[in-house]
Amino acid sequence: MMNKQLLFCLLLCSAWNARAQKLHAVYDYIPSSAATFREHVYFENGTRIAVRDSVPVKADAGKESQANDEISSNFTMVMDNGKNYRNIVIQKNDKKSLVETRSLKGNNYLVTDQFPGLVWNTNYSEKDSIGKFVCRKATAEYRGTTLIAYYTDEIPVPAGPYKFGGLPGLIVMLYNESANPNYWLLQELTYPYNGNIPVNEKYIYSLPKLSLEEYVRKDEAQTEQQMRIMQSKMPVIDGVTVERHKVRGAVEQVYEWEAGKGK
Amino acid sequence: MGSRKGKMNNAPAPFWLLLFSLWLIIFPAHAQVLISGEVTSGGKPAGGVRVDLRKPGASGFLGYTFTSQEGKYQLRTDQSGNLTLHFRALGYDPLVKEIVIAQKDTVVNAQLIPGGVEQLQEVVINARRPYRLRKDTIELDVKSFLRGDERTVEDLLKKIPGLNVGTDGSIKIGEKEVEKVMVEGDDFFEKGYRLLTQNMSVRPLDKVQVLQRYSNNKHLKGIENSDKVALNLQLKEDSKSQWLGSLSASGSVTEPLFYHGSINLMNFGKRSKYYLLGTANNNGVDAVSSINNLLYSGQADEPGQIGIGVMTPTLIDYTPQLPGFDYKRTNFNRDRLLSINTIHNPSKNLKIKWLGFVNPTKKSFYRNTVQEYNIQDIQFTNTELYEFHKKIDNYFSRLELQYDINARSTFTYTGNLGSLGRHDTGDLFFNGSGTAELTKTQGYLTNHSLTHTLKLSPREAIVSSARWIMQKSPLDYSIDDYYYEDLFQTGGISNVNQHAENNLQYIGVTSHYVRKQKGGDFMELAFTNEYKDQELMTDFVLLADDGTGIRPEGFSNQLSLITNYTRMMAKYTVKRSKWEWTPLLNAGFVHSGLRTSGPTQRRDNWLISPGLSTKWIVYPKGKLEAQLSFNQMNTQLMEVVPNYFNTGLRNFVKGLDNMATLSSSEGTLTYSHGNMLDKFFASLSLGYRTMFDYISNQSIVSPNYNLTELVLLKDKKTQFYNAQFNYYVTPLSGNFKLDAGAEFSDYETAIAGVGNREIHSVSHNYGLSFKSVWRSKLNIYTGSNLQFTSFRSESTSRLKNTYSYFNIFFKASSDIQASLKNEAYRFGDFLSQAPKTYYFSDFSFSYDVKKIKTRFDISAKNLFNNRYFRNAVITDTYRAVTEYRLLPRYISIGLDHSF
Repeated sequence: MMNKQLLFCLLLCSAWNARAQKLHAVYDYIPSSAATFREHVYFENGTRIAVRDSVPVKADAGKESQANDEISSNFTMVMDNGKNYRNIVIQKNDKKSLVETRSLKGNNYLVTDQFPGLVWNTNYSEKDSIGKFVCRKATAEYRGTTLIAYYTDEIPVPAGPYKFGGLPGLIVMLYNESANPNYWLLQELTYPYNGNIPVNEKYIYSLPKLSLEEYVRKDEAQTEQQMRIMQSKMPVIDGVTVERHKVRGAVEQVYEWEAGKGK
Repeated sequence: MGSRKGKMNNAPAPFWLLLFSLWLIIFPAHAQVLISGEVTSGGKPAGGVRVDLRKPGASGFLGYTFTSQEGKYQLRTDQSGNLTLHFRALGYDPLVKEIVIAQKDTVVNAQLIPGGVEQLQEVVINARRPYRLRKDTIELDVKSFLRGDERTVEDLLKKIPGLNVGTDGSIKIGEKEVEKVMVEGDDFFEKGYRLLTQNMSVRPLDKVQVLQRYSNNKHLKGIENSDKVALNLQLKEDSKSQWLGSLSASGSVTEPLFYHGSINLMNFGKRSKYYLLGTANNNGVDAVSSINNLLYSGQADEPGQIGIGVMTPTLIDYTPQLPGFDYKRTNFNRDRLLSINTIHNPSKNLKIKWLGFVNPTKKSFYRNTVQEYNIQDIQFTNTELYEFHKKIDNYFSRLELQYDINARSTFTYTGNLGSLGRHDTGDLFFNGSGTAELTKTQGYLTNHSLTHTLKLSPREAIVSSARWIMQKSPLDYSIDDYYYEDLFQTGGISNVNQHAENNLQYIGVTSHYVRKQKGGDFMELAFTNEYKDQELMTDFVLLADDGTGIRPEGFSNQLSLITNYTRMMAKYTVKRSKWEWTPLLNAGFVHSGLRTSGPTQRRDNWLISPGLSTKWIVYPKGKLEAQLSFNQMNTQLMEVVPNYFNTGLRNFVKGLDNMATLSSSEGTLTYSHGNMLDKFFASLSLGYRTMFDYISNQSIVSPNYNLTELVLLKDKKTQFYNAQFNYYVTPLSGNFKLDAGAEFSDYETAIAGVGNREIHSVSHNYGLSFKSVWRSKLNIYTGSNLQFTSFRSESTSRLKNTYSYFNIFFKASSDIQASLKNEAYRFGDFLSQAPKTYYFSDFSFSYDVKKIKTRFDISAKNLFNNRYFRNAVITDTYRAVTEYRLLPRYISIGLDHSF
């Protein structure tokens, strides 16, 4: 298998031209200790497309401490949001706005995000090797949280997972500083990548459109409804009405339109 | 990319302008310079090329950018002098240009040559997993849940989704009660964690960790098939090793005075932790109930645990039984508690924990009972007016040492020492004649255990323990009246006394092997030997007017029961993603020796108890669980007592005077659909229990005494079901819950003069409730429960009780909250008393002044000022109405301050 690919690659290299090639990076997206998702990032001509699988992969597969399937605990509750689609993020060069697909109540939407941009602080002298790469640290404030990225100079591609990029090199690891950090960790890298990007742009652009603000509002109304359903089923606590502060588990915690309203 | 900029252009423009103009004046040579240019390859523009500026020979960037699709770039710098400009992109040879920055903008164009060696293939990165958290740990940031109205840890926990805090302070996750609440990984109170959560201030808290699949024994983590949950509280850095505390006081504004005061002091450092608590109240709150968890601590369902729940039996207990009724309303008390707790970690592998408690407490209750017997020819009514005062003096101390021999093995020693004193006085009017009742006990308890855990491999461990328990619970009971003339045919008696010696000695050893198989299956194997020596001496004396004592024949006991039980336990859990099977076998051999007045009766027998439990996820929302077991156990001390002993006033009980083995079989089936997040969530369970041998009563009933003799009978059958349906109604923003349950039993009892009676007992429960989750400041919780009980034998007696409630919660803002709770209890037409409904209403209001870290509250209890509450019960032999005196209406104001 490996040899075949190598041969294929050599063949390609002989037909090398100055055209920019596609880069394919695969990240593990770990939103919590309970689940890991695969995220494929394609980078070509300054356009970055990130495709995240909606089905979690088995974390630590094959490793010693294997996660047990939770069948005895009542604790794990999975929110039922109907059908889940893959999350696809398309960010074109020179454009601040990016589009992503998000699902809501079993429907897929094209959501436009007026991305605020990332202002990276690369003023860190510390280096860390992650896998084969010597990485530098960078931080950026992003939507109510601080991103901590480790990127490698050796791959001069300003790409990274999800909506993140813009560093002098490829992001190898990224997480947000929080009690519940979301992690992205590079797993595989292919360059040049000769496969197709499994994204049908025609389909994506034909989806019903929403702004990110509209989407977030609708999505959280739905989540809140579910939390209220849960609360309504819980035993009454003496003398206290329970109201929950909204906690966004995702890496995006405070949006621009919420700025000033406080947390 | 949207972020093709260096790090220097993020400040607002006016700031840069100001800085720029300053630089223009002071350092004209350091003005910003623009470097721009075009990058091409083979005459075509090259996009996506990284252009970075460095000092010659350095690897750090002074600035960087990427070229546009047109191959153009712009880079600003305030550096000057000799610099290098690097051009780099995948698929091209890197290019370095040396440039000299003067004051002018510089144009640097570059031509790249295709090539380079950068083909990257399938680079699989085996990086360390960045997750700081261990598996099964959920870490919650306290800040995210704080709404400003929390004082104690409990207030905070109530706000965390998924955590339920009961009115008694118990914390549950889903339906599972947490094992313990730790502070920085150290545990003070085990299941008595209420002391901590209800008293510790929320301020020093940084994070709350929910530890799932928790193991009390750290070496068993991941090996044991655990579904236990524990909480760990992490503190803010600046709160560590500092004395923190809280003070609260409240008192009623008018007579009679009801008060509540408590003070907490705590200091949690890395090496040492201290927790001091003092509390006193007379408003009905049981300040010391949490200690009971420490007196008889330990987890029966954990590997290597033995002697759990081994204690001397209770002879006389007058605790009011009011299920479903707030005990605080009837509890006339004066509770005081002082508790000192420390944990020291003198070295990495040694932990020393010491707890001490003192609780001088007084409790009183007042009750009037009308008991009606109506079984064929036996017809009479007893009335009892009772004033009861209980004085408790408990001293309790516990030492725990934990020593890690190495990373794989640990020694744990736990020693308890307790002095449990009780002095009860009762003023009693029984059928119109008054008497004083005295109950006195001064018991001692010592309980030591030594446990060694050895982790053989990441998948298997052996836990071995030894435990020694010694308990003495003597009891002196006396009444200064004589009701038993009919029984003993003796006159001229002024006092009746019963002195009891009630001693226990226990020694147990066990070795428990636990293994987690590769596929996720669990295996357990244990060998245990338990030696138990119990002594019971009861001396029943009728004191004649002239001071001589008469000991009626058959009313005193002197017995000892010695058992030596050797057993093994084997358990295997087959665990797959959708189902789980656990076969279990307990098998052992018991040597028993029962010594009464005559020769020692010996009995050797096997006890075999197999069981099977299973869980199956039928479909994603549907779960089926089933348990089936056959159990065998031997009769306990109180069941083999040869002669009668007094259990309070007119009741005498005697046992079988023989040992026996009791067999039973039990099965339950539970089906659930959905979970709490679904609009519809339901569960249904069905079960049966057949006691092939059971202990029943054979009574001689008369107005002045009840003589109950335990008899061994065959085949008691019980069936039961429970159902719960939840439905969230969107237009009403609230959940409707319907509960239904019933239990049916068939068994026999016997009454002298009536003979054997076949009893068919039925109880039904129905409940309907609504809980709102409105967005408004107001929310309600309302509902009603119905309970039907009936006993059918030669005649049928029935009872219907209802309970309704309507609670209103009002939250004006995060610092002002109020609630009004209304309850109505109604008992059916009963014992020729008209049905009566009791209404209760309690109000509370709180105002939090965060600036001074103080909360003020006003609470009004028992607004309708009910002074009595009547409760009706039926049993297979009598019906009774009991009236309890209640704490009167009072309004108290209080404050709560943390420092």
